[in-house]
Amino acid sequence: MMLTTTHDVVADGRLVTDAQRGNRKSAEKLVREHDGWVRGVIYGVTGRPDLVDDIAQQVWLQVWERLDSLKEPERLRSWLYAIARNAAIDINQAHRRRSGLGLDAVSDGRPDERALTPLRATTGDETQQILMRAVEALPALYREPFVLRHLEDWTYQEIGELLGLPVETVETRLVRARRLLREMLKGRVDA
Amino acid sequence: MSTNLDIERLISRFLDDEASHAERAELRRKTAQDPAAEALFEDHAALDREIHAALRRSLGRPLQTRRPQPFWQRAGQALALGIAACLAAMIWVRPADQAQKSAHPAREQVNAASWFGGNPAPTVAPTPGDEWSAEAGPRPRPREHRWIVVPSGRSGDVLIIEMEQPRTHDGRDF
Repeated sequence: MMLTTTHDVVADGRLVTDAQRGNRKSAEKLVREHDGWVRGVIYGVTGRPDLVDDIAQQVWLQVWERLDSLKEPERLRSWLYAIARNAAIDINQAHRRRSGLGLDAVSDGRPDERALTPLRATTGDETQQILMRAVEALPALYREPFVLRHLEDWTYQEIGELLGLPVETVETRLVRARRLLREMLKGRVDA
Repeated sequence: MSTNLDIERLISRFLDDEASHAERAELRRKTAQDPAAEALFEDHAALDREIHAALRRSLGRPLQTRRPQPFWQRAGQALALGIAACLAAMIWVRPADQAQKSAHPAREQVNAASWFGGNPAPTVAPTPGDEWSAEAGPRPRPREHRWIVVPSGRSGDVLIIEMEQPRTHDGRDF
């Protein structure tokens, strides 16, 4: 399959090469340019905004420790994605273990009903909470593309490139995410 | 006859700005002919807007404005724009007071204490979510500074990058 990339891999590669050589400006630019979507990935995997800061810090630590090992600098995005996703899974699972929750919602295809409480939305803040809990309750495989679509405004192709999925799969997952959210939120928020 | 999956897929593609011209026309035709399809579209569109706003608020992103809107909203906006253009042509529009522009000076400096102390500190312009009124929905989260600290891997150097963002780790009840 011919894969066309939609972002500037050459610029990414140059940035990485310069950072590997110790160019501090490039290192900082690398973090600034990619921190946004890395945080989106972390949130997409965990569904937990409260964990994003800590995990992002861990991710950048790891990136810096391993930057010299990135032999194909133009593959920065997929390399970063793998680090962010693994860190998010590890830390989220550790957190869930500590909280006495299972790990099923991370991997299976059903929403985590425990994350939703039968609240009736009366204020904007409550509505916000309910909506975020519904997104948190989505299975990660649906939440990831959904979050990247909404936070980064990425196309199906860009999302597919990052997640390593065909465009059709991205599309199907977004349809299912929307269906699940609609079912979960029926009667709960006045959308 | 179209199935629910067909219409859901069309709606999803439309909301994600991925629908082709033909798909948009098909969705318009289906929602015009079938009240259930129209209700489904309205449901999804409203929910999508709410979740989009909630997600971006929660993760500290400015609200995005270029997402597709229902047909009738687009038509209404086009009409409003036309009226505004006519009015602007007919009456004198006073230039905006330049002094008001300084009401939001660049409020923070990034990178003051970073590895790259010698570099000029970039300024961050206010984001659209900064102003809040009761009608605008939930109050945006207070902004905070976050530091990304990474050792450089080279003899004791540390890279400190200061980021400014809305707080993301409060307001949960466990």
